[in-house]
Amino acid sequence: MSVLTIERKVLEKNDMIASELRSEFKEREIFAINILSSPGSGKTSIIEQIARCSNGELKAAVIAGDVQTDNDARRIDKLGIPVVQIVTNGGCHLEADLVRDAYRKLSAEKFNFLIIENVGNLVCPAGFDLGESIKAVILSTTEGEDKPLKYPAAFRKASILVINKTDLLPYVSAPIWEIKRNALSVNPALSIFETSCKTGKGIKELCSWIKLQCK
Amino acid sequence: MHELTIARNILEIVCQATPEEHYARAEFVKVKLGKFSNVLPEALRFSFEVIKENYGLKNINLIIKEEPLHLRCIECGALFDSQDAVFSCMVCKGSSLEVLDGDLLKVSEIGLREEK
Repeated sequence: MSVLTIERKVLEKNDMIASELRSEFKEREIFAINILSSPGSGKTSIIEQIARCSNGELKAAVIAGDVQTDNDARRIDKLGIPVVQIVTNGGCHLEADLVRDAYRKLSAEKFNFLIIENVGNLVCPAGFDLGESIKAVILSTTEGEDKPLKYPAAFRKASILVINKTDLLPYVSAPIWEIKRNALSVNPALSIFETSCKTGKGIKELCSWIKLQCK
Repeated sequence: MHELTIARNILEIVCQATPEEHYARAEFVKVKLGKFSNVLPEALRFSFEVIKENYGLKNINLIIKEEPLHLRCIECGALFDSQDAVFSCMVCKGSSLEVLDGDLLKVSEIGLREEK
């Protein structure tokens, strides 16, 4: 028996494409955000709200990943935001090559903020670098306060946490301070935003923060 | 089931590192699986078995070595290992921890049977 000793990262191919994308985003002064969350936490609704905040200084484009349908792309397209839909046909996460191909389709558009809406899933997407500037996690108040403890990788790798559907807080048993405490125990460096797409609360703060990053 | 993607990547690395005429001799590939890599070993083994023949590597076995999380406390400097994804320092209970290792997936060894 002869043994070849190699130390190679299993995802080296993905990481290489992601690092090329990251350089390209940097060069073109694009702030790219990779959004992770469970299905139904309000990713597309938050994107719609951010799109409404877009003006001269913030020009958004969206790459939306879903297992099936182009429903999300159609919602975003209605707002006049450039959007490319990736249908993964069963795939549970986005990979860097899919994002690169989608990004190429946006080459004629002018934007400084790229939103990559990952497939709704808190497990698999956390392992794949897409070349983004930061990862963001969206957690809705109805999902329970222990989600950060159950899915620590996503929360650990994110820079911001958006706690969405705060309008439903009176109807759920999870107090918001407990969601925050659990999230910060996994990742003390998280910046936390509280939003409601229904009432618009907290959206302005989130948009101001994004505008600062895009400068 | 991102384990299928992981299995595909492992087999591609074996193919790149092994000359094609020796594929049939490839007996095992050893993979280091960090505790924090979000990969289910059983699902990875299953995916690997299902697709390995597509790569001409029908004799190869997957050996998974699970690695603990290696952590360093940014506050007190303590170094320690953890089998769970717990994020407070075992010494000072501080919560600012740096992950040194254990969140990665690496192919570490490929075993080839001797030529007869």
